[in-house]
Amino acid sequence: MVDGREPSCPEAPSEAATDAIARQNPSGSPVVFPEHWLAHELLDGLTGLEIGAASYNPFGLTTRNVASPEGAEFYAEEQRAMGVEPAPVDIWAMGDRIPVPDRSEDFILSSHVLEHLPNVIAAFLEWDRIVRDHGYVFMIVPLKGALPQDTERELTPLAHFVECYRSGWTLDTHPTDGVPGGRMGHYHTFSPDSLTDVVDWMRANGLSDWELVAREDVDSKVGNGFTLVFRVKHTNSPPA
Amino acid sequence: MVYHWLGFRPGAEGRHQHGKEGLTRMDFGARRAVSLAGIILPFLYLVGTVRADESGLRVDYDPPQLSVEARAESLGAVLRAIGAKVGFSVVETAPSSKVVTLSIRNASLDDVLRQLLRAKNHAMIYRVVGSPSAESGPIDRIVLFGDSVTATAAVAPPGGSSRDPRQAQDHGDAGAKTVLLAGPTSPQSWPESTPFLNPAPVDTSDPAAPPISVGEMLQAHAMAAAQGGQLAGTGANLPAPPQPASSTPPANLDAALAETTRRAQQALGTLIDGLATATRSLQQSLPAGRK
Repeated sequence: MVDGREPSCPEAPSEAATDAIARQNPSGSPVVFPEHWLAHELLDGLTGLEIGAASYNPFGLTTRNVASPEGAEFYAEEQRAMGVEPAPVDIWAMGDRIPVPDRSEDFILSSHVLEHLPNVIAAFLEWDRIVRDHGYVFMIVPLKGALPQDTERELTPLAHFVECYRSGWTLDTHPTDGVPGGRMGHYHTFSPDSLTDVVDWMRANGLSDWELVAREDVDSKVGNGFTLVFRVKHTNSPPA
Repeated sequence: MVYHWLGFRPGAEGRHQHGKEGLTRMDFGARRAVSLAGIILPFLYLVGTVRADESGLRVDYDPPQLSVEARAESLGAVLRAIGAKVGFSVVETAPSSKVVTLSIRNASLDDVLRQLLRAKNHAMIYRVVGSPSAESGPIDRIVLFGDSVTATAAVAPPGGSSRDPRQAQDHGDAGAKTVLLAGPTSPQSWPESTPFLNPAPVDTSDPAAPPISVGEMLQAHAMAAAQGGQLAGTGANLPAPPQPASSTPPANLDAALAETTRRAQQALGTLIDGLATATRSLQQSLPAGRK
């Protein structure tokens, strides 16, 4: 609320949003997207965390769902509006502050979540802490124009991500001017290259050592994002 | 045996017909043949060597150091050459038009693969050692999905700020925005009807409309995909995702085999041509009546 506006994340969908769903999904049938073959290929048999799981966008993996308490009822209602029961929440936490032990998970998976985090590098550091050596960070991130309001925005430069990190910006402190949705909205825009640049910057600065192991410029799950998968290595520090 | 290959059979015929003279001629012809073979075979070997050099691809692996020299080679060819040395396979689910020229000396495998694959659609699949949650082993295979595609915004709304999409929304012209996406080149890898090509219409025509909410954003995402997506209980109309590479052979396996066969045939053809040339040379060198 730095800009003095009320959070634009309501407790329930606005009337306009409900109308939009009714217009676009007139059958009222549940909307469920297919699972992701790449996720199965890399993550089957492993256990991990999914941040912000949604019932209409299943992955079919062995995960615990991490959900933010802020706006939780809204997200649950949003899933009901899609005709499905909300995904059960296992851990109530923000995506960049998850109360689990170091190196306790085989992977962290997120789909259309990263853009809602005000401090991407801080989140990556948290995920690096949680994922075991040679585990995975699996991300599907919206293509820059998936949300029409993002289309005209500049691609967020690396310098901004670094500024977010060095300034320690959070939901409460990240400026929301120009952020569609305001608080918890789309703080940043990404491309596969720009996000890989962030990971490379972290490696170059000794913050993490992630290896890119998969990339889809258009994700083969739903098709409105891109996929990046990194393999976590903890080469410079002993296991916790 | 070499003489049979060359179509020249020194021996009894000459001796019967020409006696000692024939023996002399036979010996002379045999020596010529051996001499020519001695010239031709190294020549053929050299041709093969030159061809290898001309291919512009060299991989040296002295674990953990890897050196790669590639000149205008396909990414798949470079990776296959590395995989042959290091021990992984390469699967191409779609052809790539990209060629690779690089020179890397004494780098780690990770560094080399990072340089080769950073901007490419791919997946590296690791062998699992022990239980699934145990430490991963070495790379088992690399799957290449074909050329990358890019998403571009086509229209800048007149009068709208390029920095503040809500401003454009307030001007009521956001609905005129169009998003273009280069068509996926790999139907094996990506849905044929990428929903993103037709993002959900967002009603922004009302100048008094409130700023977009997170919920509306999520719904725009979801419904954009749902337009071409799969509605449970109503029949799937989103193309099925590609099958895991481990369970389904790549669609162009036949093409890859055909290409390999074609190249083998070319190499064999070159060898046969060389032998035929040698045969003609031998025949021309023999006295009339011996051909």
